[in-house]
Amino acid sequence: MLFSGEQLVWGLLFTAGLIAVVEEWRISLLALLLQYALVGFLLSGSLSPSLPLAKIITGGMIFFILYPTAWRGRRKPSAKMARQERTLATSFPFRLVGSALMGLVAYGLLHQYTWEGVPSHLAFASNFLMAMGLWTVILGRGPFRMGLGLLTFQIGFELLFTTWERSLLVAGLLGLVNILLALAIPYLEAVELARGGVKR
Amino acid sequence: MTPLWIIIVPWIMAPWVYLFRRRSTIAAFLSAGTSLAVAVICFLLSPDQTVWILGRGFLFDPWRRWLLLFLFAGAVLLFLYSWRLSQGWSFFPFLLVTLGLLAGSAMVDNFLLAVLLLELAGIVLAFLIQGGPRADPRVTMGYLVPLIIAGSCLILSTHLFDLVALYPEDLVSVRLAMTALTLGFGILLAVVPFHLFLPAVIQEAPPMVAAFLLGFYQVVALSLMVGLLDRQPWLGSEAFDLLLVAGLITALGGGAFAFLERAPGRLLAYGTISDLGLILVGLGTASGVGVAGAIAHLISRSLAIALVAMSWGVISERYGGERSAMPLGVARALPWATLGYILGGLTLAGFPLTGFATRWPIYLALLPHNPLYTFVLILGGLGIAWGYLRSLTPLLGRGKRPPGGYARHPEGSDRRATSEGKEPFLVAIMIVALVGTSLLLGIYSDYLLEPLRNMVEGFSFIAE
Repeated sequence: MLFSGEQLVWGLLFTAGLIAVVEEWRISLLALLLQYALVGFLLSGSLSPSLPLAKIITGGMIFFILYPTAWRGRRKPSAKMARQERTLATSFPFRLVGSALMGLVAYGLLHQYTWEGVPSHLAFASNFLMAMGLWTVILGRGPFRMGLGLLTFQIGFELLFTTWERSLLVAGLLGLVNILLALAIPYLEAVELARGGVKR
Repeated sequence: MTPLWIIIVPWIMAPWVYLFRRRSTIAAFLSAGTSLAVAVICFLLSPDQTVWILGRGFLFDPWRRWLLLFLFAGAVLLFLYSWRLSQGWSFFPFLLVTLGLLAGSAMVDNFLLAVLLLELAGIVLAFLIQGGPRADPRVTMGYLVPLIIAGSCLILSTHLFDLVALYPEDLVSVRLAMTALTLGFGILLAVVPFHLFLPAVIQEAPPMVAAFLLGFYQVVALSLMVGLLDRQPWLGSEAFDLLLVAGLITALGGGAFAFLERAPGRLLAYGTISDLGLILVGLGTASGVGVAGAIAHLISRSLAIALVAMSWGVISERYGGERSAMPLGVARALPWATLGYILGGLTLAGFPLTGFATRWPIYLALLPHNPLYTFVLILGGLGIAWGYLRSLTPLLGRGKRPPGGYARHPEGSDRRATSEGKEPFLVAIMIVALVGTSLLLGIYSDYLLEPLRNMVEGFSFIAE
């Protein structure tokens, strides 16, 4: 293995944090792609290669589904609109502090209940991804960012669940949930942009 | 013939319907024909069959037979309605895909796969809820977020079931499983206090999508819950107590919100939330009479939802109508839609001669628990009744008209359909048929309740 499990978990924490804190679409989207790859590598240590590979392929498909929409909506808001949108909830320090608090919640949950057969670093990564996903959804002002949050939540949940349920059929259906979700996001984002909603 | 056709046929037809999505007549008849054909298959196939695919069983028993027949027969009505009054270009193909997924969820003999298929169906429904540029995409996202959370909770519960089976004395796992199930089904079914997303979704969604979500999707989710109660005896009396309490809070909460509500879409949402509470209470009694009443009311409720949604759909299509209020004085121009709207609402409320007959067994089953509970349910129903009876004032033309009046051709609507002020003939026929069915069900409810009572006796959780 190129990286240890702990290193991969640190990578996951970093990418989830990036998605929640940074609003730049290119960074968020790349962080999401990286997240799927890291989950794939993390699972490859304990599972047969087909399941991790399925996760990585799903991540790649989602990246290519989301990229055109993110590119289309890349325009920066006008100075006036940016001023109007500037609130406490959208400020960088608020996001950062909130993300740190979510990390604490994830760490606290780790000590509340121990999942049998799940290494603690993996359980923490899963808790953190789910918490950060929900935090991104709460902070999101449009379908694109909320969608990234939902996908992060799903990645966290699947990281935990795949260690118990190793059926390829279930993994395939979970992948389909992700892909359908990723298809819904561009559709909703396109409507949002057409309605002149907030820009990312 | 294998029962798998029930799942496969809608999926085979969906791409063909998609090709004709801009030609509503062809798309509507292909979709309605497919649903009708599958409903006929459900009726003709002999029940008690199991098909195995990849080691997973797909059951077709009498219970699932009637559930699927109800689902596909109801979809025929929705497709025909959408032919006359457009519900968005994606309605026909996407609803067919959803129907296939829901049929799979109802038939598969594995809770995890059933939940995953239900979640997939829910995500496909998100495309229908959006239905075009008119609706607010943030509301649709507001529907997807609870759906994903609910799905995750229910999927997690499957692992906890395994833990409970391995270590039955481990109370922490039992409590976690109960919590995951409560959160999962609570959010999925929009039980109070997890209901907050639903009124906005119903307000924004096209009427037939709202009817499908409330009247059919929720039925499959409820049937999944009943199947779980039947198979997991360790859930025990605690689960039924929880159902009873959650049901009472939901019935009263939904009724109170309906009492205060004027916007038709939100009123429908609160009415159905309150009615769902009644159904949960019926299931929570764990008695033959109560559970049979709950299932009978589920059927009556779905008919009422379809009736209200169809009627409101005509009114809003013809007279625009503000999202927050009913247009003034449309009763003379749209008599059948007005009748359907009010009667559907009163059925939801459990008014005598309509929805009362299916509420009665639940009231009776509740009496041994606490007579006060029955009073709470009646109070919830009165809230809905008041909400709908108050709609009569603007419908009959009394009240204050907003300055400038109402738009006759709402933006984004089908111009051809709004070219005249009356109800389309087919839609009027469907509304009249549903009114008649609701009244018949109200008067001759025993014809439905008796077979249901025999059917529910097979459930393991029914008390002696």
